[in-house]
Amino acid sequence: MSNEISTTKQGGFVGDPAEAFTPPTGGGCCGSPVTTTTSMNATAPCCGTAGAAAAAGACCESTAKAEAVAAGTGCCG
Amino acid sequence: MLRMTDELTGSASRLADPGAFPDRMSRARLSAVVAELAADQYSGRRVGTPGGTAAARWLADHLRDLGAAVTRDPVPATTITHLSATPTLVWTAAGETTTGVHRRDFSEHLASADTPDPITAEVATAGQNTAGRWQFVPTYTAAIAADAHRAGAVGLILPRDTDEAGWMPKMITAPPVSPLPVLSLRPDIHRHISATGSGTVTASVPLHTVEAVGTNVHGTFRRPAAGAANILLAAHFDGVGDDPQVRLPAACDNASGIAVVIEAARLLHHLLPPSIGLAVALLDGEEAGAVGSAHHARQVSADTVVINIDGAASLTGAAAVEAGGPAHQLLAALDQAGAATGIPLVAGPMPSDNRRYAAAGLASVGIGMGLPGYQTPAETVDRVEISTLVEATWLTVATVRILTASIELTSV
Repeated sequence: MSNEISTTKQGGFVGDPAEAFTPPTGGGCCGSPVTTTTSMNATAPCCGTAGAAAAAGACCESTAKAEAVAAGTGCCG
Repeated sequence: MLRMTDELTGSASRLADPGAFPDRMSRARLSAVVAELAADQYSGRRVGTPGGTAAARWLADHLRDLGAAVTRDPVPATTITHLSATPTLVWTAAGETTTGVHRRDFSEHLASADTPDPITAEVATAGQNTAGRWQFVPTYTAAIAADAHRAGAVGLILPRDTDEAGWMPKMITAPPVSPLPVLSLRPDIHRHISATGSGTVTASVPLHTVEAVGTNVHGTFRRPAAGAANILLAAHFDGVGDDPQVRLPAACDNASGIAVVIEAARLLHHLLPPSIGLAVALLDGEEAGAVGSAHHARQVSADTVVINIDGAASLTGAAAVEAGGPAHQLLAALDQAGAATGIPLVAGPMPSDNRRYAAAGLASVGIGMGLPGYQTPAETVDRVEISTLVEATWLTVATVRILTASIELTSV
């Protein structure tokens, strides 16, 4: 391989990088914003609402998860 | 605004220039790691399985070959679900009998009682007597299950959507077990049977919980000098595991992230100033509630900076970034690295191991660059784009170089 990597894309953060401390929840996974003191809650839904996650029989409702994955934002374990 | 505006800005392009790397980034190495971890012998790498243990062993050997000092650290036991056989579901409605396909038409509900032998019973929809019947319900709660059990229902069936490719992704985290078998059914089928208001269902759910002990794999490439920065690159190697008769290779989630972290560490080992510490944490048990990183985060020194990669398989649009802990300087470096490499970044939720390190007070970012086929049989090696592996590696290396240069500037 090579080091021939080139790009013409506009890189870096869209907006203020500090927004990454409280990423938006809409359409993503694990809805609650993360702060510097928030611990991971293994029982919290990954996507959408707790009710929808329970209905789906999974840690997150699959439509919300599909949206998150399609957006390249990943999902929960 | 959190931007680097000091004299470092002008040198970011130089620090991110792969042409100046003494070692070349290797597409072959990146793809070989993904192919290895997705191979049959690792059985989808579920925590606590022979396949997961074999993957940890291979990763330890691989890191050792790259010159790292390697340790393997057992992760305390956690409870997960296990399918001892493929669940079955056959239904008859309006005189027509249909055999469902597991993960396409139906799936086990994680709260289900272990029901290895099929139960045949009539269906009960809203308002009907549930005694001795499979009860069709719109949602699941422990209270609904308890009520249905008291009323004599033989089991619960609720609707569940599929992903865009028609799969029901697999999960293994174990909620409290219901007194009844519980199945999830594709919403259109659920609606059809509910609307019919009659018919029979024959179903089995051979699902039980097991205690699983995982293994984190740690590779230390160099220890930091006193007061110097310590970089930890992290990714989880576990998957949800194969189904009894179907492979779930977990190539994207997260063999791709593992490949990136290993290749980035290999490059950085020869790029960073000698005082800077560099280690990788290849974590187990993320799919079981991030238990591997929860265990490891307590052992990491407070001045460690963590970059966690979860998904580097298909970058469409911007890479998602979530930050936690005192990560302002790290974020600024990542921003500069994104600008220098042309990789767009966006604040996005990354509910992965990075949260465990952030919760422990460490500067951390989680980066996600796509998980096609997420936790389904479609998560195969061919879904991992080499171009994304390269971009993720490049971004990681550039971020660490810019960060460590900025720390050196700050300390002068």
